[in-house]
Amino acid sequence: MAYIVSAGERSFRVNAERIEAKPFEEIYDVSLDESRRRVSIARISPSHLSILVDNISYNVEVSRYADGYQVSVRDELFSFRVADEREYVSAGLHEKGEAVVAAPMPGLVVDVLVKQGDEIEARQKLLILEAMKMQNELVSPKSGTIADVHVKPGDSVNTGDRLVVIE
Amino acid sequence: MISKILVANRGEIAVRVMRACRELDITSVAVYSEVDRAAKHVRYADEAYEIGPAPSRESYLRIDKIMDVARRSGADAIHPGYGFLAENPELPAACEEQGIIFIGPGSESMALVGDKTRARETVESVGIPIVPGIKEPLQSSEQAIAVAKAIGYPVMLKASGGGGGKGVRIVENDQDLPGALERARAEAVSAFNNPDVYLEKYLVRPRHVEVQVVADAHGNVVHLNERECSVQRRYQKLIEESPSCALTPELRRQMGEAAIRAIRASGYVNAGTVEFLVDSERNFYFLEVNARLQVEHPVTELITGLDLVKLQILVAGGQKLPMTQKQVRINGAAIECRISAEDPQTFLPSTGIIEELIEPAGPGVRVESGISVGYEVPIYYDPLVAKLITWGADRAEALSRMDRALKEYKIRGILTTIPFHQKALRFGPFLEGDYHTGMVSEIEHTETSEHIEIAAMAATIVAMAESRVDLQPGEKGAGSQWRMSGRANGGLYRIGW
Repeated sequence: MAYIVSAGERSFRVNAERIEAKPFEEIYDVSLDESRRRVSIARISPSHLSILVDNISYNVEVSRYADGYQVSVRDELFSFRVADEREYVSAGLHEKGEAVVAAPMPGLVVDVLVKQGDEIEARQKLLILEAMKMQNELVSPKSGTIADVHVKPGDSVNTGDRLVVIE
Repeated sequence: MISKILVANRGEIAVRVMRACRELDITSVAVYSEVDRAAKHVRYADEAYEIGPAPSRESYLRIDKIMDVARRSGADAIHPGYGFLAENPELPAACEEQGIIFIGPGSESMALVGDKTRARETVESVGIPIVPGIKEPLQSSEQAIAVAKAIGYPVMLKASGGGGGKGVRIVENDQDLPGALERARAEAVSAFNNPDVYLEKYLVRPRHVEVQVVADAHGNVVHLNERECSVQRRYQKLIEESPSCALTPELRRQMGEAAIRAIRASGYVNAGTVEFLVDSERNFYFLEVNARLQVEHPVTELITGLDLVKLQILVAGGQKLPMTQKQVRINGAAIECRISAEDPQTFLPSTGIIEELIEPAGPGVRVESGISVGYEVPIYYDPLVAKLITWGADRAEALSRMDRALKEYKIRGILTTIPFHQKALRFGPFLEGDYHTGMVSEIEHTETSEHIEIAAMAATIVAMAESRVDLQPGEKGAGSQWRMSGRANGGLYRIGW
C-alpha cells in the first residue's frame, strides 16, 4: 500500500514493505517516487528511529501532531501529512480547481468575511481566527467563487478543520 | 511584614513568584480558571481559588474576583506577574482602597507609564530622546494617514493599553493603514479591553535594549544593567540576553542613567523596565516603561546574582533597597530562550496534552516552566509554556550551554519553539552578536533533499505502525503514555513498538 507524504507544495509517493524483522532491526524495502532503497530501521523509542541507508546513519525524531508529523533529521525539521494513496484520491483533494482552506491552528473564529457565492480575489481575506491571544487573518490561496463556508463567528476549530471551500 | 501573597496569574510566572514566597516563608495563594484546575501553579500554591470560566476576560482579568479572593484568603499582598492585570492601574487602585499591598508600582505612576503618550511626554521633559510619532490615541484612519505622511513610512501601530506585541502592526503605505488599524484595535480590545492605538515611526534595523530598574519608597533607584531583546517576531520577544553586544561601557552608563531619570520622573516604585531602541549609530530612543516584572527577568538575575521577585516583595513591604548602584555587578553572561507552544517555523499556536517532558539540567541551566506531563495546553492563554535560561562565564559559554540544554529538552504532545532556538543558535549574525530586530526573518530553514527523503520515509513507517492499530480503547490494559497520546490525536493508539 502506498502513501502520499506531503510537505507544503511537495509530495512524495512512498511505499514501504517490511521484508525482514530481526531482534534489533527491521529491514524495509522503500520506494520513494522513482527510487528504491533497502533501509535498516531500529526503533530506539516511540519517537526516535535510527535509520541506516547505505551505511549512512540518521537519527530521526518523529512526533505526531494534529493530523500530521513533525520529523527532524540532522537538525532539519519537516512537517508532513501522510495519507493512504486511496484516501488521498477519494477525498478529492486533487479535484480540479477546488481549494479547501483548512484551519492552520486550533482557535476561535472571530469573524467570517465571505459568504457562499462571493467572487473573491487571490489573497483576499476570508476569515479571522484567534488563538492564544493573537488574531490571524486567513487569506484565499486563489481567486474564484466561495462554494461553501463551514464555520461562523464564535465557532472553535481544530487544526485541519475545513473552513472555506473555493472553486 | 507581608505574610500571605495572592498571585494573580498562571503558568510559569505564577510558579516563579510562589517559589520566592516559599523561600521567604510567605504563604502563597493561587487563582485559577476552570480549565486550569490541574495546572502546575495551582498545585504549587499553598491555597487555590477558582475565579471563573476559561476566557481570561471572565477569570484572570476580573479585578472584582481577584479582590474577593484576596479578602476571603486573608492575603496581605497581591503579585500580578506579567500580562493579564499586571499593567492595569485599576488593580493597584483597588488594592490601595482595600489596604492590600500591591507588589508593583502605585496606581498613579502605573497609569502614567502605561499611558504611552503621557509616558513619552514625561520622559521627553527630562531630556530622554523618543521616536517620532503621535502621542494621542488615533481617532480615525484619515488622521493616521495624515500623521504617517508627515513622519514618513514605514510606521508602526501599537496598542495604548499594553505591550507584549499584541495590537502591533507595521504599515508601509496609505492603502494598508485603515485595515491594519482595524486589526490592531480588535487585538487591543481582545488583549487589554482597550481599543486605543497610537502610531510612531518605524526604525529600520534597530536593536531592542531594555534596562532593568528597581526603586524603593525611600527615593533609592538603581539599575541592574540591560537586556538585549532584539530576537523578536511580531513584536514578541523570543530570545533575550545580557549583557548586550551592542553597548559600550559608556553607552551602558548613559542608558542606565536615562532609565533611572525616567523612573524618577514617573514617581515609580518597585521593579520596572525601561525599553529603548538603539539604532546602528548607537543612538538610543525611549520606547516605553514596562510597569511589571518582565518575562526575561531571570537573565538579569543570573548576571547580577539578585532575586528580583524577592526585591519586589522587599520594597513593596516598605523596606530600603539592600544595595547601591556601585554594588551592582555584571558577572558573566546569560541568555534566555522562550519556549512557546507554537509551530517552530510558522509560529502558529499549538495546543494539546503534554505526553512527555524531559527538562534540561546541569551547570548553568535554569528552567522556569508552567507545564507538566498530562497537562493540556489550552487555547485561551499566552503560548509561552516555559523559559530556558543559561549562564556562562562569558557569552560563548552561555551560548554553548544553551545549545546543549536545548538538545536535552524534550517536550512531546505539542509543537514548541525549541527547534527554532536551535537554528537561531547556529545563525552566524547571532553568534557574532551582530543582529537586529529583523533577525528572525533572516534565519533560513535549510532543507537538504536527502534529509527530506529520509524524513518522508520515517513519517511513512511511523504512520504504517499507527494504522495497524487497535481502535477499541477499552480492550487494552491500563494505559501507558503512548496510549494517552493516542487519545489526544483522535483515538489512534500506537502499538507495534
